[in-house]
Parts: sequence; structure tokens; C-alpha cells
Amino acid sequence: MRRWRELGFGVVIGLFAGMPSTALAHPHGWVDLSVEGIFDAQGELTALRQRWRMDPFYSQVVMEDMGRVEGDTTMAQRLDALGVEIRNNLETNDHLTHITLNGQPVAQGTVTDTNTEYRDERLVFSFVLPLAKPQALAGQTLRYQIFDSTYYIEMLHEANADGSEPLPGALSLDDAPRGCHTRILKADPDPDKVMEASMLDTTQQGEPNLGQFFAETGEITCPG
Amino acid sequence: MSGLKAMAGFLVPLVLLIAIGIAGYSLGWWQNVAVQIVLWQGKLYHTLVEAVSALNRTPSATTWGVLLGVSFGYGVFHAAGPGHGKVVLSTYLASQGGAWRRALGLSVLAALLQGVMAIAIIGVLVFGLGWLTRQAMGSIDQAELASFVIVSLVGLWLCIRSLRRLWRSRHIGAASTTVISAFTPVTPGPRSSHSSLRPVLPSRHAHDAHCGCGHDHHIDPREAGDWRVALLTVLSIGVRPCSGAVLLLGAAALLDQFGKGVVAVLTMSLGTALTVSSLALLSVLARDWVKRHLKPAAGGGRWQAWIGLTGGALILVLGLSLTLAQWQRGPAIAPPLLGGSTLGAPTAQQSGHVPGPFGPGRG
Repeated sequence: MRRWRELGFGVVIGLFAGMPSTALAHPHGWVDLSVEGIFDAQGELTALRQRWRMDPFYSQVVMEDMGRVEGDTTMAQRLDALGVEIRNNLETNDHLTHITLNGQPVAQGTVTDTNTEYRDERLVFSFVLPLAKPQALAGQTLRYQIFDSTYYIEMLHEANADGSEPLPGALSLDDAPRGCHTRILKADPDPDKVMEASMLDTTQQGEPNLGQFFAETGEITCPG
Repeated sequence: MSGLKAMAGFLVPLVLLIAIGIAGYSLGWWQNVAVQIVLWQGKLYHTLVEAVSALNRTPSATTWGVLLGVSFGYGVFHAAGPGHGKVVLSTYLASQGGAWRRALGLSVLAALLQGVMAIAIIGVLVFGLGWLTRQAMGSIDQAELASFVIVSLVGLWLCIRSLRRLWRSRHIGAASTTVISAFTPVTPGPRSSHSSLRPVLPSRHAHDAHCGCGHDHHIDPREAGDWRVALLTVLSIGVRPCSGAVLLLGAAALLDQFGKGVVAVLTMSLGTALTVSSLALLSVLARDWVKRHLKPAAGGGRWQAWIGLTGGALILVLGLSLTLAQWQRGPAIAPPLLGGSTLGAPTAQQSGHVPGPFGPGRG
């Protein structure tokens, strides 16, 4: 009888103790993305130009920082310095951008044309991310995902007010060969994998990679 | 026969519950719910930011209503993904006893304390000491570490207490247990069961100062200890504010809307309190249900102590592993976005060590 009782308690406690497995990280900020695929004269994709619009709170907090920088620098100079800093940070993790061509990873070059500005109460960081070498897309599909793997910051393409549809300009093409088209696929997180990732997260046994499951996929497809 | 009936009454619902749990897991219900909650949390955060901005632009009853409603919802769902605080609280309640009123009180206190901590962090660090909001957010990590350490302390305390009880009940040995086993108290609480025990104890059992029979005769010192450890539990949960709340307050302060931010965060705490107290009540209900179906038989005080020890050990292990993990984290994981500013990093610990791009760090 007593053994049963202990078992009963064990089960009750176990039920609750098992619950941290469902403790998921979730975003505490967001970035609105726009991406432009840039092609060269040969019709090969050379770079992805990206524009990241930080959410209003995040922007506020960063601008508070900017306002307190000591010295006689102008705000534009301070923002430029911030841009350099951001670029250097992003360099260490592939600019949070994961590019594949027919499933094969595509190497990145060195970022150029960084620009940081504060517009409409949003901090906007833009840059050009070149591919290590230009890629002919004829008959192929290039896919990319941009995400913060910890999912602390949610990164989605610019969308309409309720977030249901990406804006047409969220993924555009510059000088693309005729017939190339784009598509933005919503995230379709696999619940099992999310659960698995969150378990790794709570036990700190592996790299948390929750962000990946909630990331959108951008596609650029050109006719063969 | 009635014993069999009681067993069936206990086992059947238990087996059903476990079956539902296993089915829920294998069919992916839980996982789907978890994903859905994360998506809602993201949406609510968006809406929350928009609500603050809207209220800032046009203060009206409508914008106020939206802000309060969204804050409350954010609180509810923010707490819906159970964190360590909820585990500590429910384990504490399930293993240590306590009425539903206490469960309610503790969870509401813990949730409110979280809100108050967020307000204090911005109020004291930003307004008082002139820190940047970003640096103040970095301090959440210290609060988190403190929280984990306190969790370990709670666990340790509960273990020691239960061990002492066990040792005492062992100490009195067979003499009293033979008497007690003849009597099966049906009263629910450990204390009341003791008081109902007392009359049947033989007169040779003298109640002197050295009496270690597991029940206290004068002012119950356990009661005071109970409240201390209960408050420590509340502190362990409440000391770490939600970073969403701190960010909201910081941004509101920057918009000269600190007061509105405070109201929003307190509303958020009420939402959190709703979720946490539901869970706490659930654990009390579950515990009482188990207890009702399995009336204390021989050595009632002892198995209570064993349960207490198990709960305490669970909390201790949880606290220690979280503390260790937090300790070891640090520079291992790169902050996701603005590196030096570390605002984006849940591991904002580095803010003190890595000189940010924004001048000398005070964090």
C-alpha cells in the first residue's frame, strides 16, 4: 500500500518535473527583412542585398546607446561605427544567412556597402552579402534562410499589417535573366523537432537551434 | 473489499491520465501546442510593442484598453511555457503540503514579484544609477543566476528538513510505530493527523523536551520554517524578471511613458499569476487526490518525510544543474545579432566583459 502511494506521488512529481521540456525560448524582439538578389551581366547571381529593420523597442534602446556615446561625433558617424560593429559581429556567424543551391551550401564572400540609419523610429541596417563566386541559376533554385538560431530575435520578411502575407518587395531581383521568379515560404515547424531542440536547450547539452524551425525560406528560381 | 475499491478508484484515473499523456505525446498534441504557444508569444510581443506605440501617439480609452488586454494576454502565454519557476513551485507544493489558499498566495506573490523586479531594475538602475536600458537588461542574467542559486537553497533546505524528520522518526523507533500502526488516520494534513494521533498514544510516551516523535507540541517551529522556505521559494521564482517586461519598461521610459509601462507590466504580472496559480492549484489538487485515495497507513509522518525529501532533492538537482549551466555558459554562445550590444542575447552575461561599441560598459 505504501509503495503504491509513493509511486503515485512519484508520478505526480514526475509529471511536473518533466515539464521544463516544454519550456521554449521565444522571441523578445524582431527584425523585418527585405532581400534583393543581384545579378551580373552574365545573368549569374552575385549577391544578396539585405535590409534589416529592427523592431521599435530594440531601435529605441540602441538609439539611447547612440545618444550617450562620448565625443564630438555626429549621429551619422556613430551609426556608421555601429554598422561596422554589427558587420564584424555578423561575420562570425555567416550573417545569420544560410544559402543553398539545389541543397548544397553556398559560400559567402565579404560584406560590402553596409549602411546604418534611423528612419521612422526604426534602426535600419543594410548590407550587400556577395556569394563567394557568382552562381548561374539557370534551371535551378537558390534558397536562403535568415534566422537567429536562439530564436531570441524573430527574423521574418517584411509583411502586411497582420503578418499573414509577405510584401511584394520583401524579396526582389535586380537585373535578373528573363523568367526568374521568387517565392517566400512560411515556416512550417516540425513540432517533434521543436520539442527536441527545446529539450537540448533546457539541458544545455547542445546548441539551441530553435530559430531555424521558425525561419522563412526565400527562393529564387530561374528557367533552364 | 473497500480497499480494492479505493485502489481501483485511484489506479483507473491515474492509468487514464498517463494513457492520455502518452497518447498526447505520441500523437504530437503536446508538441503542436508547444509550437502554437511559441507562435502566439511572438505575435503577442508584436502586438504589445504596437500597443505601446499607439498609446504613445494617441492616448485614449481604446488604446489603453488594447495595451492592458495585450499585456494581460502576454503574461498568460508568457507563463504558459513552463519555466523552472513553475517546476519549483509545483514540486514544492506537491511534495511539501499546503492548502490551495497557500498555493494561490505563493503563485500570485511570485508572479507579482517578477513584475516588481522588472520595475525595480529599470527604476533603480536606469533612473537611479543612470545605466543604459541595454545594460539593465544584461543584469537580468545576474538575477537569473541568483534565482538558480536560491532554487538550490530551497531544495537543500527541504532536504535537510525532511532528513531531520526522518531521523527523528527513526530515533523514536519501534515503540511508537507499533501503536500508530494500529490506527489509521484518515485526516488529510500531516499536522492534523498528528493531533488526532496524540490521544491514542500510550501514557508511557512522555512529552518532554527531548521528544522527537515528529510532531511539535508548543508553537510549531516548522510552521515558521515553512513560511520562511515558502517565501524563499517565491523569491527564487520572482527574482528573475521577464526580459520582455524589462524591455517594455525600458522602451516606455525612453518614450517618456514609464508610468504606462509600469501599468502594463503589472497587468502582465496578473496574467502570469493566472497561469502560474492554475498550475499550482492543479498540483495541489493532484496531490490531494493521491492522498485521498491512499490514506496514510503505517508511519504516516515518515512517508510524508520521504515525499518531502524526494521533492527537495528534485528541486536541489534542478537548482544545481541550472546554476552550473548558467555558470558555464558565458562566452561559449555568441550573441546572435548585435554582438557587442548583447541586447539580443539571452546570454547577455558578456556585456560586462566585452567592451561594446557604445563606449565603456557599465553593466
